[in-house]
Amino acid sequence: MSEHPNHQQLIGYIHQTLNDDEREVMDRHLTTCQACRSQLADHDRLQHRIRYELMADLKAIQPPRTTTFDAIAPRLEQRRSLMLRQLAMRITVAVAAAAMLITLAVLANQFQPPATNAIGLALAANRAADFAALGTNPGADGWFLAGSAPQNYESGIDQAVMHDGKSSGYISSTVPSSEGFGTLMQMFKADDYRGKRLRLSAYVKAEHVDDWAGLWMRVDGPASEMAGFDNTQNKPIRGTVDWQPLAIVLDVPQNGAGIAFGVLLQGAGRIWIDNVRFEVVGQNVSTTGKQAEAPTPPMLQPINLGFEAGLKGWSPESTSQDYGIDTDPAVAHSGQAAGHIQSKGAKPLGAGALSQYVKADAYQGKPLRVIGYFKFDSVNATARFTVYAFSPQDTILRSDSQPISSTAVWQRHDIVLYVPENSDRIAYGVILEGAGQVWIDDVQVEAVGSRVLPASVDRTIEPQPANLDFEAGSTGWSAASSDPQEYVTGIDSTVAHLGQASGSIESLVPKPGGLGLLRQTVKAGEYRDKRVRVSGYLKADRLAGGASFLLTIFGQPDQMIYANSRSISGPTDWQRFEIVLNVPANSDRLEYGLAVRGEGQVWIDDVRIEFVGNGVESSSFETSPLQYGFFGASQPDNLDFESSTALQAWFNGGNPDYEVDVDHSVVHSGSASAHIQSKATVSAGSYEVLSQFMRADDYRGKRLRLSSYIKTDQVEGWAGMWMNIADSSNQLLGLDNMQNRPITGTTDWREYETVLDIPENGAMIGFGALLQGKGEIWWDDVQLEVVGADVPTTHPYQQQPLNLDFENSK
Amino acid sequence: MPDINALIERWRADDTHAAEAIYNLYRDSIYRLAYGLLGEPADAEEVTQDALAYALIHIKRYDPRRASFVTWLHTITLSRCRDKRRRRRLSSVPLFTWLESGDDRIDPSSAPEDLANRTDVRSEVWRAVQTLSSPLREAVLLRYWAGHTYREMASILGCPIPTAQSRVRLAYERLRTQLTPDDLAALEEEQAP
Repeated sequence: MSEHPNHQQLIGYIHQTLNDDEREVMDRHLTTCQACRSQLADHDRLQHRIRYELMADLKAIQPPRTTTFDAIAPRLEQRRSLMLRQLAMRITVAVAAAAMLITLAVLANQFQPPATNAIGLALAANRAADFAALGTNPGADGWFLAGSAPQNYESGIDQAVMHDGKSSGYISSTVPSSEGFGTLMQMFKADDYRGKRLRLSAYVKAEHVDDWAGLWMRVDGPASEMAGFDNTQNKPIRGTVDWQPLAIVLDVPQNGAGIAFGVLLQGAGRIWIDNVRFEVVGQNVSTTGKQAEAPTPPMLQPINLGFEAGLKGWSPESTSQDYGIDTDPAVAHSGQAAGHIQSKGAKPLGAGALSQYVKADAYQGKPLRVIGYFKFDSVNATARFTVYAFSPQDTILRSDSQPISSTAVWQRHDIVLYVPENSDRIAYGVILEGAGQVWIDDVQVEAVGSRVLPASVDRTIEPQPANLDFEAGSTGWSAASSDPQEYVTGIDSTVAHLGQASGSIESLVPKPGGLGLLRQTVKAGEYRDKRVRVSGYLKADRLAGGASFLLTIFGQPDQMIYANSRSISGPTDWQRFEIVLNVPANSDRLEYGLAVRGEGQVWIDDVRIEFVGNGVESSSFETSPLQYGFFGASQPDNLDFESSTALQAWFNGGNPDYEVDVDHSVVHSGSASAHIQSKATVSAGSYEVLSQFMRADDYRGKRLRLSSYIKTDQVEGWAGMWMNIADSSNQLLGLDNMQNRPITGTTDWREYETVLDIPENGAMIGFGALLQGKGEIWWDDVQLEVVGADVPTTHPYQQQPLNLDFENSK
Repeated sequence: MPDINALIERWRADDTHAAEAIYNLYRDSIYRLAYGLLGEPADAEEVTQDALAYALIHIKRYDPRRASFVTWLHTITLSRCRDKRRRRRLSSVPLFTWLESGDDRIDPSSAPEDLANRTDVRSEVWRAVQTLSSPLREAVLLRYWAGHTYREMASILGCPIPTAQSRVRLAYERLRTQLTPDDLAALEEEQAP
C-alpha cells in the first residue's frame, strides 16, 4: 500500500485543489486504504452539512417587504437615454449642474498632471460629450452632426423641402429606433452678444418623430462652464407636423465665451430646419431658459431645521413654474410640519429645490455631517439630498448627494462632507426632478470628528508630515476620486505593512474610467534646499490598471515645480518605493501619496520623509507610458515616434477596447508611426487617446500650432488630434479636439493642424491623437511650432453663426 | 427559469418589464448573500438594492463572454458588502450608539420578518460561519452556498485562484474545529496517518 496522504493532502483532495498527479496518487491509494476512505467520508459528511445548513438557513431569510423593484425603478431612469439626460441635466437647478461641472474641475485640480491625462481628458470629453460624439459632416457650411447617438442619424441639405428659399437642413434617423439623439449644431464666439439678450428662432418640420424634436441653445462661460441653457422640450415636436416656429431666449453674460445651438431629434423620425435666426432683443422679452443663479444670502447658523416656523431660513428655488415649494402641515416626521416640494402637471420641467444656506465659519476644515429625514412619493422622478460647500466666489468647493428612494415611510439620510478651510458658506437641502413630491424634516447639522474619509476631501496643508503609518486613521490624509461610485478611499485596519492599518483605495466597479487618489500635503519649510528621500510601501490586489507612489512639489503661487512617481501595474505584495531629490529652494509644499487607475485595490503604508546625504543619487524621472510618471517636461519629446523606447514620453488612456502601439509597417516618414486600433467590440462612447503633456513656460502669450500626419482606416466614430491648455490649477483654458472637423472612414496620410493661443496664465499643454468608436488611426511626424498672428486659431467656436438658411451647401 | 440572456437583451432594448423580471429573479438570492456576508438586514437590503440597481443601470457593461450573469452580480454584491463593512468599521462610535438607541431608520414595516429571520437563523453552521473573518466568510458563502467554481471565486473576490482555494480550505478547517467536538477533532489529528 502506498504511503498515507497527510492531512493537507486530504483537505486538498476534498476541495478539489490537488493537481492531476496528486489526485491520481490519492485515487490509487484510496482504492486500497479503508482508513483513509473512512476519514474522507467524515469530511464529506461535514462538507455536506455545511452546505446543507447554510442553504437552509439562508433559504429561511426573506428580504424585507421594502426590497422591491419599484424602490429602485427611479434609479433605472438613469440608464434611459443617458446622454439626453446629460443635456436635460443642464436645465436642472443651476446648483446641481454647476456642482457637476465644478466637481470635475476641482478634481482635475487635485490630480495635477497625471490627471491632465485621465481627468483632464475626461473633463474635455465630458464637455465635448454634450455634442461631441461626431458623425458625418452634413455637407452644410458651419453645421455639424453630433449628439449622443450620431451614428443613428444622417443629416444634410434637402433641396426638395424648404420653409423659405431653395433648401433646408435635415436630420433623419437611419435605424428603426434610436435610443439617443442626434443634433445638427454650430458653435460660435459670444463676442458680439455679450451683455445682450439673444433670441434664437427657427422653423422645424417633422415626419414620424416617435420621441421628440426641438431647438436648443447653450451659453458657455470663460472656462467652458454652462452660463445658460434652454431647449424647447416643453413644446416638443412629435409625430408628423408642418413647419413650426420655435424660439429660445437667453441672456449672454459679459464674460460669455461661446454659444452653441442646434436642432435635435430624439428617437426615430426625420426633421427639417430652416430660417434659423439670431436677434438681440430687449429686456421686455423674457428669457426662456435657466441662467446661473445669484447667490442667496446665508444664515449665520442653521435655523428652523424642523420647518416649524414655515420656510424661515430656507430658500425655495426652481427652474420652471412646475414646482410648488412650501411647508406641508399635513405631513411631518416630528412636530407640525415638513418642508415640501410638489411638482405640477404630468411632465414638469426642470427641477425644484429647497435648501438652506449657512455661513461656513463654524465648519471650516472639518467634516460636516448633515442628517435629514425624507419622504418621497413618485414613480419616475428623482429626488436627491444634497450638501455643498461654496467658496467666497460662489463656486462649489465640495458637494455630495444621495438619491432618495420612493417609499411611503420616512427615511433617514446622512452625508458627511469635508468643508474646506476656504469655504464661505454651506448649503443643504433636497432637489426634486420630475413628477412627484418630496418632504424633508428634522435636519441636523454638526461638525464631526471622524475616522471616515469623506468621499471627497479638499487639500489641507499640514505643517509637517503626520500619521505616515495610518495608525491614527485618516488624520492628515485626504482623498479624492473622479467618481465616488468608482473608488472608495479609506483606512483599512485589516491590512497593514507594519502596525494595524494602512491607507487604501479600492475600485468599486468593473473598468472604472477615473482615478482614485489618497495624499498628504505638507509645507516645504525645513526641506527646502535639502536632499530628501520620500518613500512608502504599496501593496496591490487584482490590479488591472496602474497605481503610483506620487511626489509632487509646488512653488508659490501654485506652480508645480517637480513631480515624479513610482508605478506598479499588477498585483504585488508590499513593495517599497522611493524618490530622492533636492527640494528646490522655491518650494512651497510637498504632496505625496497614492494614485490608482483602473480596477483593483491598492494599499499604502509606512511613508517616510528623511534627509539624506549628497552621496545618495537623485531619482530619475519615471517615463514609462501608461503610468503617471511623465510630468512637467518643458519640451515635447519623441514626436516622430522613432525613439528606440517605443512610445517614450507618450501616454495612452489604457482603454481595454483599444490597442496602442508603434507601427513599423505604416509610416509617414522614418521607420515608425503611432497606431491606435479598436478591438472587435467597442463599448458605446469609448475612445482612446495618445497624449503628451508639457509645461507651458516657453509658450505663454504665444500662438502654438500643432500639426501632424494622420492616416485612418474604417473609422466608424471619429478620429482627430487635440490640444488643450490648462492653468496651474488645471482649469481648462482652451481646447481644440477637431470635433467640428472630425476624420471619419478611410483616409490616406494627410496633414492636420490645430492652432491655439497659449494665455499668460497657461501652465500645462496637452496634445495628442484620439480615436472614438471603431477603426484605426496612424499618427506620425507631430510638430509643435510657435506661429504668428496671421495663422488663424482653430478654436471650435466660429466667429459667427453661418449659413442659417441652409442655402450654402458645401 | 426564464432565459436570463433573453431578459438581458430585452432590458438592453429598454423593456422595463424585463428589468423587473431580472430583479425578481435575483432579489432573494442577492439579499441572502448580502445577509450572509453582513449579518444585518438593513445593510443587506441596502446592498441588495444598490447592487441590483447598479447591475441594471450598467447592464451594457455586462459581458457574457467574461462571466456568467450570476458571477457578475455576485462580484458587484461582494464589492458593495466590502464597502459597507469598511464604512461600518470606520463609522465613529456616536453614530452607532445613535443607531442602536432605537431610531426608526429601519423601515418599521419590515421589523417582524427581520425578527423572524434573526431568531430562525441559528444553526450551528451559521453561528460558526459568523465567527469567521470576512475573507473566509466570503469564501464559504461563495463556495458552499453559491456553488461557484474556484475560477469564478477568484474573479468575484479579485484574487488569484490559489488564494481562493486556500481561503476555502482554511475556512473549512476553521469550521471543522468548531463543528466537530474538540476531543474528536484532537483524536483525529493524532491519528492522522
